[in-house]
Amino acid sequence: MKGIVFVKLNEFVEQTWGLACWESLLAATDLPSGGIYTSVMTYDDNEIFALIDAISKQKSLHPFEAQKTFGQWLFKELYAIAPAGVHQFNDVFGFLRAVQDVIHVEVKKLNPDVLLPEFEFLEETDTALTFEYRSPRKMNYFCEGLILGLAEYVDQTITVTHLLCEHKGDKKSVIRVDKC
Amino acid sequence: MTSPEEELELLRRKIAREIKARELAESQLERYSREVYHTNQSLKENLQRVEKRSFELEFLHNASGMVNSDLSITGLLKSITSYIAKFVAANAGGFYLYSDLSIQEVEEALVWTKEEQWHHDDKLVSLIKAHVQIKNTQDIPQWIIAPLEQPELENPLSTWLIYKTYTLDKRSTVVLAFLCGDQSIQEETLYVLDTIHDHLSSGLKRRLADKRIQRRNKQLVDTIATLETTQQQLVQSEKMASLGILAAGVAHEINNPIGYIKSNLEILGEYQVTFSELLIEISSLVKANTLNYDLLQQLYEKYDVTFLIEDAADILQTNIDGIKRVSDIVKELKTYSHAGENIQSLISIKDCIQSALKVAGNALKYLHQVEAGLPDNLPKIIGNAGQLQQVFINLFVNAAHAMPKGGELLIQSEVNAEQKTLSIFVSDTGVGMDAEQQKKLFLPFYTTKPVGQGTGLGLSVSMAILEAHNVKVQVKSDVGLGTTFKLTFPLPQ
Ligand code: HEM
Ligand SMILES: Nc1ncnc2c1ncn2[C@@H]1O[C@H](COP(=O)(O)OP(=O)(O)O)[C@@H](O)[C@H]1O
Ligand SMILES: [Mg+2]
Repeated sequence: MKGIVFVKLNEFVEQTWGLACWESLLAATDLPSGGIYTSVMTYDDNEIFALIDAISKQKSLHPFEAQKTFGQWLFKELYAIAPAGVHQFNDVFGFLRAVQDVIHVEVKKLNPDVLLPEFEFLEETDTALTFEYRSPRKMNYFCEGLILGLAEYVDQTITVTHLLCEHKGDKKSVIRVDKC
Repeated sequence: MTSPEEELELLRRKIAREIKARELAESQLERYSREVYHTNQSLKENLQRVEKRSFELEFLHNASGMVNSDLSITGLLKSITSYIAKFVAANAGGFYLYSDLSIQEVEEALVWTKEEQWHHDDKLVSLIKAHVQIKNTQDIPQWIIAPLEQPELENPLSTWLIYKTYTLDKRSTVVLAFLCGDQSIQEETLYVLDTIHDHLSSGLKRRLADKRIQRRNKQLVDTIATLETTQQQLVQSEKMASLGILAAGVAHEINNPIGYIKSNLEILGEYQVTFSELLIEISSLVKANTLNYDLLQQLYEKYDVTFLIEDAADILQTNIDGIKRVSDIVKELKTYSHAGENIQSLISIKDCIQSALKVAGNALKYLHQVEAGLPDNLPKIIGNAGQLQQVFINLFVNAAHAMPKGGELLIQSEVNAEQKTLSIFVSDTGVGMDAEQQKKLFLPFYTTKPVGQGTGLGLSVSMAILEAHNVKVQVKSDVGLGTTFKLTFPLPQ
């Protein structure tokens, strides 16, 4: 996982629960990196999961809930560093397609070693978009959070449903976004 | 709530981490720029390699173009040599043949220079040859670089001779050699030159083989020409042979009447002597005035005058017949010797047959039905109408003779468009011939007819005429049933 995500998680935790919380998460997880993150480097995926685990324990949140909350907070941060050109999208569905076709493509160009999720769009109507989320990290709840952050950002009200979820025994993860 | 001291401690730790992170980030950045530098470097190298490769490909492409062209062996060697010379920036270049037998296809003592292109220069060529070392005619797989011993004297601009061999066959090798300055010899360049080795080698061999095939072809053509003359000579000598038979026949046929004409004339001579004696005796009796009728009768008796007169008349008639026979034969022989002359007009076979029927009409008389249902649109043939008419006259007269009690003469035609031939069938319902007779049919003087009716030359003369017209003759005959002659004429292309 790219360092930017760790740097932003650090920011998120400090903003939400204070300096001491991040300190105690580091103490609780004893990570190989020692919690020294820089956005230009890449760190073991396990560190993000360990940190999220620790958050859910200390704050009594379900890990999925923790991922979702972080994702929701993270969106505007990622959006700020996103390549020029994505800012013309002011609709959730259009933006989601742009993530797959433009944003993550640009991310990949800058960091050839990143592992990005793949979206396969299954169905789209005026009010509903269904897509399969594909990633070995199975961060579909983190994804939900990012989408919620996006909706907030473009000022649309949506609901996100996990039609299929790998954490619940399904073979794949399928997400539906409904505009209300 | 955390105390200010605790807060401070947290911040201090955070700053320590941030510093560490910054250091890491900076060293990461250094690594990146090093990577970028290396990447750039290897990109440059790649670019150079690609450029070199495309240069090589261009060389290979151009050289292949020459090999694949239809240049002659010398032409190919010339263009390849001058092309390589330019490619390696050589001062001079040439190609030389090493062989235990000279191959004319490769021009010698030629040299190429930038200034003068291809020209003859014995000095330069012997300088090059002096440095080329060929032990035997086997292929040396790589380019050989030989230093010039005294470049200042030999060729001031050049310090090296590079050369390469191409085996043409077991006995001959072509050497491409170039005089170069120091800067033009590079392992790399020579490697590029190597890429065309196989192609050029097989291109040279192919041309040599082509040459050989051409030479062999010419030999074949010559052989065929010789064969054709031989065949013509054979045909000629066959003709001579049949002429021999003919001559023997002519001698026999003419000797016979000449013989009896001669002895007849001798007899007539004796008769003339007898008549003279008789006349002398009569004269003396008349002078003495003693001749009377009885005495004259006695004299006639004594000289056998009645017999002499009758016999002389017989003898004269026999001689006249004999001379007619000789003159008939001579007439036939004349056509024989003219057979095949003037075969060049487009003629109508139908016209030819119709006029032949008119001439033969006498022989056919009213005894024979004649069927000549030939269509008007028969294709024309190339031939001599007079001679062909004679052929048909003979066929019709023969048919008439074969049907002494009458019968039918049938004339039919058949066109074979595929083989471009026209066949004429002449059939009779006459006596026919057995196999023995059919064999002798065309021999000169073979005849079954009584003296005065046949010379036995008709079919042999006809055959000579038909052969000259490239006509195929087939005979089908059954004793007692009749005979069919099939004449197959080639149609003009
Ligand atoms: C609604 C919008 C977006 C969605 C749904 C989304 C989704 C995701 C998800 C689910 C991941 C986690 C990796 C995984 O699942 O394997 C991820 C990673 C990432 N995304 Fe996005 N993303 C969005 C927008 C952006 C934007 C605007 C950027 C800006 C450049 C961005 C850059 C990245 C980066 C750098 C990673 C880390 C990948 C790695 O370290 O291997 N994303 N994204
Ligand atoms: N149509 C025919 N039917 C039977 N016999 C034939 C026919 N034509 C030719 N012959 C035989 O071939 C012989 C040779 O013929 P030819 O050469 O024309 O000489 P000629 O007619 O003077 O005898 C004839 O004498 C005859 O015996
Ligand atoms: Mg005859």
